[in-house]
Amino acid sequence: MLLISSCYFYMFFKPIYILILFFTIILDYYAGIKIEKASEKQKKMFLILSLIANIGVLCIFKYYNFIFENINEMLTIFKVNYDFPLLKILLPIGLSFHTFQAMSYTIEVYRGNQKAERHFGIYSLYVMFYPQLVAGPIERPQNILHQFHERKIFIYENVSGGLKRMLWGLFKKLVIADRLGLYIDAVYNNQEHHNGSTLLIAAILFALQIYCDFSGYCDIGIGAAKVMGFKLMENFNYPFRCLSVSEFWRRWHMSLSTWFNDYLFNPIVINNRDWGKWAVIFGLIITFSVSGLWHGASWNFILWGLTHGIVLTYEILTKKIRKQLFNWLPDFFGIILARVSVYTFLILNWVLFRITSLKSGFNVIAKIFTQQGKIFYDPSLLYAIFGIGMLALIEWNLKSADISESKVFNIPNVFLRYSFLSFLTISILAAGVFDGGQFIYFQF
Amino acid sequence: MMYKKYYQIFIFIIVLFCFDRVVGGLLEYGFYKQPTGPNYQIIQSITTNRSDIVVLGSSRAQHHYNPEIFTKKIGLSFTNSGVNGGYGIYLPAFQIEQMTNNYFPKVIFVEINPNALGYWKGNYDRLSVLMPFVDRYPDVFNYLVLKDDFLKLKLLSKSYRYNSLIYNELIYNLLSNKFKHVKSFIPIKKSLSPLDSVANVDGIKNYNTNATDLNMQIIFEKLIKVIQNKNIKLIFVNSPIYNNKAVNYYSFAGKKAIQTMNDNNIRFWDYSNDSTFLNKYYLFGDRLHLNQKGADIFSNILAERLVSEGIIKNN
Repeated sequence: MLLISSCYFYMFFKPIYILILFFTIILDYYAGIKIEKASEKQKKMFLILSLIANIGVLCIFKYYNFIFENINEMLTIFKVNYDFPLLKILLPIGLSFHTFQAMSYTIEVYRGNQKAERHFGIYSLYVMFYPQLVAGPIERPQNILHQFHERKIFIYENVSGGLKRMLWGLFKKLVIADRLGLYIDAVYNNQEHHNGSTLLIAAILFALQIYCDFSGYCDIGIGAAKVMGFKLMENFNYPFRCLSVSEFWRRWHMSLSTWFNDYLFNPIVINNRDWGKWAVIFGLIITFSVSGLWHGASWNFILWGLTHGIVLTYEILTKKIRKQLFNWLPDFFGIILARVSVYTFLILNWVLFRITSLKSGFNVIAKIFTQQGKIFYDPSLLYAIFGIGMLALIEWNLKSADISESKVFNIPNVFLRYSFLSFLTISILAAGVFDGGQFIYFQF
Repeated sequence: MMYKKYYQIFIFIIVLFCFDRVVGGLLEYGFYKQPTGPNYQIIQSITTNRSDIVVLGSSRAQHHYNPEIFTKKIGLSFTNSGVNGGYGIYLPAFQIEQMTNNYFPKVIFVEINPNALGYWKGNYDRLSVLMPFVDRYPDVFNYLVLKDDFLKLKLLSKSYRYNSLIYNELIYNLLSNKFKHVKSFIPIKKSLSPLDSVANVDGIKNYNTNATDLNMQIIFEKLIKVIQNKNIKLIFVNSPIYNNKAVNYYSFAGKKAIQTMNDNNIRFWDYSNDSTFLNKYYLFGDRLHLNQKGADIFSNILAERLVSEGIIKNN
């Protein structure tokens, strides 16, 4: 039943693409069994075949045009009169997410951390489970596969907690992210007509938009899974509380960060351990550049990832000096200094995430520093400010990443609790954007 | 134990329902009390307006038709009920339907670019402008149903009908003296500069003008029939644009709309190619809108034409 619902959900976007999904599912299903049964040498071969197939699908649909556009440009520079044809295909929704999830299965089976799944339906569900199919969290087989074997029963607390989490996710998406989106789109779509002050405000707001959009999606997905009795891994842990960029990555899109950590960064560092500290730096630069490329097939995403790698390298190299400096400074001043510098980097770097070409990204950043003036105002900002106020009040001091377990969603007084939940619901209905776009991360 | 849980769910639904009714009720009160603003213009056009001549349409209607000039020139009352936002033909159709339940104006102008009868998703998103009217004017549901298959479900909430309107209600109720317009006409004071005029601004570039929007065509034909049955003089007007290359002139959808008007003997006054205005940047506020000077000239031309064609007698 769950598998049928997941198929229907996926086919809602572009039905034919389910065939691609099933191609990788069948391949990885058999690869998992073969890897488990095979000898050491054959194991590696099956793993490589599975990885090539998965990355191949990703390359064809996501990176083919990017690679050949760049080759064509190189050929033009060298005056070679040949153009490789480009593909006119739509990127299957959530391709990068479910491909990474599928790859994590075969790698874990290869490493012996996970038994190969014999039930084809359950393995398909592992890749296709609809609450996390299109934008994660990117699950690990150890966390979720066994849950599909368990018999699920109706548990009131799960249903109620899941619905509360979905409600909060909807609030973040519809009242904050999509409201901010109206303003940010208006600015970025006409960036040549806006001054640096407006572009700066749009850049700051984009940081909030992307957080509310993506974490809102995760809240809805994790909440929906909880209603059905499944526990998905957390993807966010209040990232704006971070005091360094490395801490930011321990709190932001955690399922992807840990994926890269387990399957790319750690192997690079281990394989080059003779290099000492430089192995870590090399690992960081490669991992974050690939992470940028994972987000989008264009140079602005690669640069976005690369700059994160460089800043993390800086943090490693200056760790001791910074520690001494912060010991010397009063606590509150140290925290403010750390937050301002981290936020400034994140906000300016996210400009590369939002724009469509490197050139326009540099233009925006240059304007931010050079052209001050009157800030463009749009009434939709007022609704967003209300939403951001609610976000700050509710998420400011929470401990648990699962907001449905927080005090504010579980006020002991029934009337107060229901009034709060009703207020959130009515806020969504009266102030949410219902004609807004998709989730930002769906495009990846 | 489970009984207690069901009881709690029941209580929550009651609390939610009460909240929704209270908030929705307050928003409804604020909505119909607005003394000015775009929603006021719609409300006024379907409730209290009794003018001899009415103009409906989008921002081009709102900025181009100066009621004082019409009244001075031909001695008849005139109300500009144009609403900024470009709601296709749906909003004028709703306004005409409700207005003619109250009285029959002598002339109704509908500002239209025939190409706008092409398909554009935005027209459906913007149908939400009609949501607040669903309680008092149930017929509006015939339009709203085009917007969203789940709308009937969403409209169970009273607050949802006033989605995104809190700001407008606050501004226009509390600061109404800052938004005084003469009979809802909003003149544009600035002028297009020769430099601005070459900017590539195209107000209806999003329309798929190669195909008529079937829903829009049905509503368009229905609107014509409503007017004909009530013996009101209906005139569609495509008012001046700075440079007619700004639109795909006239596309399949546009030609089909003009054909429908011709087949039903409905006047279509096309000024989009008029040499009085074409490329005269000092008569425009932007490429699609006349400024006050241009609007005054245009209103004079229309008023004279109403008389010269015998549509109305000069009082």
